[in-house]
Amino acid sequence: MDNKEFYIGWMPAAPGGLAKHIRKVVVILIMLVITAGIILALQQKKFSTATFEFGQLTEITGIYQQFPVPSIKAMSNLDASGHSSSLTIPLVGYGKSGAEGIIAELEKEKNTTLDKKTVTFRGTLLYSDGKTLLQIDKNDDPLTKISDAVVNVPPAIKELGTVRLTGEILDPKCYFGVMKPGQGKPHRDCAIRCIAGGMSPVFYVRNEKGEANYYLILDAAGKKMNEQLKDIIAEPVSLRARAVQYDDWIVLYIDGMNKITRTGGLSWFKTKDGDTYCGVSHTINVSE
Amino acid sequence: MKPLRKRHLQVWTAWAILLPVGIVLGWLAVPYQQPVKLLQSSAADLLPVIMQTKEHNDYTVSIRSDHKHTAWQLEWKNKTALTYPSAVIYKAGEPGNDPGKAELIGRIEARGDYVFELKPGLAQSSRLKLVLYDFIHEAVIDTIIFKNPFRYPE
Amino acid sequence: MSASYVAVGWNRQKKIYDWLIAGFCFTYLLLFISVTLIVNEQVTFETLLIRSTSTLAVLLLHVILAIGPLCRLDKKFLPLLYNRRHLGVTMFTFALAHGGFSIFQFHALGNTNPFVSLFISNTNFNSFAAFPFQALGFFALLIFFLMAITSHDFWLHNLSPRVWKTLHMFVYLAYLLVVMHVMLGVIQYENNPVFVIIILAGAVTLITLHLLAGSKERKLDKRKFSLEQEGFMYVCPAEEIEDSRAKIFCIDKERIAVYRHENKLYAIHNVCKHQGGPLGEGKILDGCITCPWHGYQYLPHNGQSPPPFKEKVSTYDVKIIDGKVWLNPVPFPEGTERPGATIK
Ligand code: HEM
Ligand code: FES
Repeated sequence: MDNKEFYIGWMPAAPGGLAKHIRKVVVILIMLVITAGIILALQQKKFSTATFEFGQLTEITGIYQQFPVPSIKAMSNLDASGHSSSLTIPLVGYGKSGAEGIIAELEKEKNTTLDKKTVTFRGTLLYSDGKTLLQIDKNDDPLTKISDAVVNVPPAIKELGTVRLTGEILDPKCYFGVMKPGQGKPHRDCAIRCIAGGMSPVFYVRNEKGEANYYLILDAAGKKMNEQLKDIIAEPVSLRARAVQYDDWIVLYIDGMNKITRTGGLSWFKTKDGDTYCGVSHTINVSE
Repeated sequence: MKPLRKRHLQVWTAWAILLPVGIVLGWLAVPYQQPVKLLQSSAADLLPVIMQTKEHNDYTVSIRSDHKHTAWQLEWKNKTALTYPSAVIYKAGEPGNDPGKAELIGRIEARGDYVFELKPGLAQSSRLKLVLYDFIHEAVIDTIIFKNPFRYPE
Repeated sequence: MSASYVAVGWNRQKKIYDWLIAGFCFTYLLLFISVTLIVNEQVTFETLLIRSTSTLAVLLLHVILAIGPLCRLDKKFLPLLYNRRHLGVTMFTFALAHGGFSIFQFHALGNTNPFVSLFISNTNFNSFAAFPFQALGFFALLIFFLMAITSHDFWLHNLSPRVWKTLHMFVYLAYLLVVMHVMLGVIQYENNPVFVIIILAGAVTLITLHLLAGSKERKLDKRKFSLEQEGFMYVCPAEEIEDSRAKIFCIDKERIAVYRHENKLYAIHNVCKHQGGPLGEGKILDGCITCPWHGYQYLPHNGQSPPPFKEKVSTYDVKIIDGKVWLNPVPFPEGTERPGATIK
């Protein structure tokens, strides 16, 4: 910069030599902005194909079940010989709340109980990877029909023995539809809020191919343990539990928080031990 | 103003250590979720002979048999996560896709492999039409047609 | 400098500067959003908003933090400094959009007030890996907020430049908080090494620039003046000071600018009353010493801003003996007229 050139912002124009330099800087900045925008956008993980049918209400008819989690068991169309398949759809409330609150309200309003009755719910579907949930919201007038009598179609129950699993505790509403990514650290606070709000926690386990299993979590007595789980949500944990299949969901009965341990953190220094696995369906290894 | 200048240098000297250390430790602390074996029917009871296979972006569907062609299976590999609330497979009663006139084979869920028994009585049919049906939305997702499914392709 | 305050004193340079800022931001957002939508079409609107604004804010933060040392290393960068606060306020705006929307997305519609939820949801303060990273972002945002609302010259004057500058040094803390907010947050999910390398590269660049600039300044401050005569120190030969320009000398921890104007030397305190800009790196324009940072002006012989302005800086005595410049480091009260020294 020669002695004559001097820049002050309140002058109408910068002197020639300076202006040239600044033009160079501006070009460099433009290139920086363009590369940063493209690289950052490209390097993100793929988002899941989970769907939240926002703004679209669907009516689902089936048997309402209070246990293991508030859900509705919907049946597929009968085939030529009268067979059908079932789909258990856990219910969730509006925002970050579980379904229990609104179910209690509806029962009070209709002055009846819903458990094991045939009902029709109107709500918003969310689904991914073979699991489907229904959001029921007071504002959607969700309960459209309810049978008087209790239907006695108990779920198909199968004891799977004691299992040891490594995975992550998720809030199902976000994971199966509402948010992307709906898992892991960035989503942790939200998952804590959702589970504290009564959403049924789901345990997510994956194999090396990325295929997943999803489990429901209850304590050994079959009660919700949402409150206790708070500090270990959305990070890798190992747990030991009794697994019982109810139709198309498996429930993990966890006998106290000491059966769950954190596995994450400084993982690069850890050997990948192969024994944290779960057996296959017919021959569950009781790894006690 | 001099103390301020000195403070700048002090801060950045400290940051020259803290920032790289924080970044590297943060990186090392990224938790890792161990993959495990999944609870699903094992591949052990798959029949040995693959008769025909149909490839799709989201799934691979095969007809399997034993060496004597007395037993038959439908093997369904879900490659990607389903984007439907429900998905059941029917063997269609020709010509339409109406589930009420079809035969239910089974339901598929998460990614992974599914195996369904097929009835031996089908062995004579010259065409097997599978309907993948979403009963929640009451919509056909896909139809898959195997020609001469129970004979070796010529 | 102005007797009354206006929101922004617009002029052509500022307009160009602001249009460039707007252009950069627009280009970035457009690219980030459209590339994500093209290759990753399953993205949700919320995530797109959260990520595009946050990454843009961090990009701007790096530019902001680089401008200071760049100007100290090479005066050619000074035009970038002139309007840096607009860049700062822009950065805050995007960070606020990111933080605000994150609070809504991750904390609203629950069983607790979203702002309470921010602090009581993840309480693993004793774990490094599980640390509540959102709290780090919140405190960074708070610092940016305080800086943004005090960015106007009104606050500069009311808080005194010293306090104001100290306040604005918290931006370094905020930067550290943001880096850890990202490293302990989204990186645990988006664990692609490319992101870590980008963050590391940004940090290394800033550290290098600041340390280089800092050591350059230190050299100036460390220079020893050993020849003393009746309170005057020998500083340099007279011909070393170019016309209309100055040299800066640091004696007894104070920096003094010795200016040459119309064949005379004048010495004034180096620190501009506005934001502490280095007056000795300025130039004499229309007979006034002009600060290189934002163009405040002072008369060389008395250190006073020309009327109607009221800023005043200390003046010093200077003399020339046999072509050598001697400077007396004892300041005269601000605005005291001094005769200067004539160059033969
Ligand atoms: C109240 C304040 C803040 C909150 C609640 C907050 C929250 C979050 C959350 C939840 C994420 C993860 C989002 C995801 O899933 O991608 C995130 C990421 C990030 N935040 Fe913040 N943040 C705050 C302030 C800030 C500030 C002030 C900055 C810096 C200017 C910042 C920069 C970033 C960056 C660069 C990322 C990674 C990219 C992304 O995921 O968006 N955040 N923040
Ligand atoms: S510091 Fe702003 S004009 Fe001098």
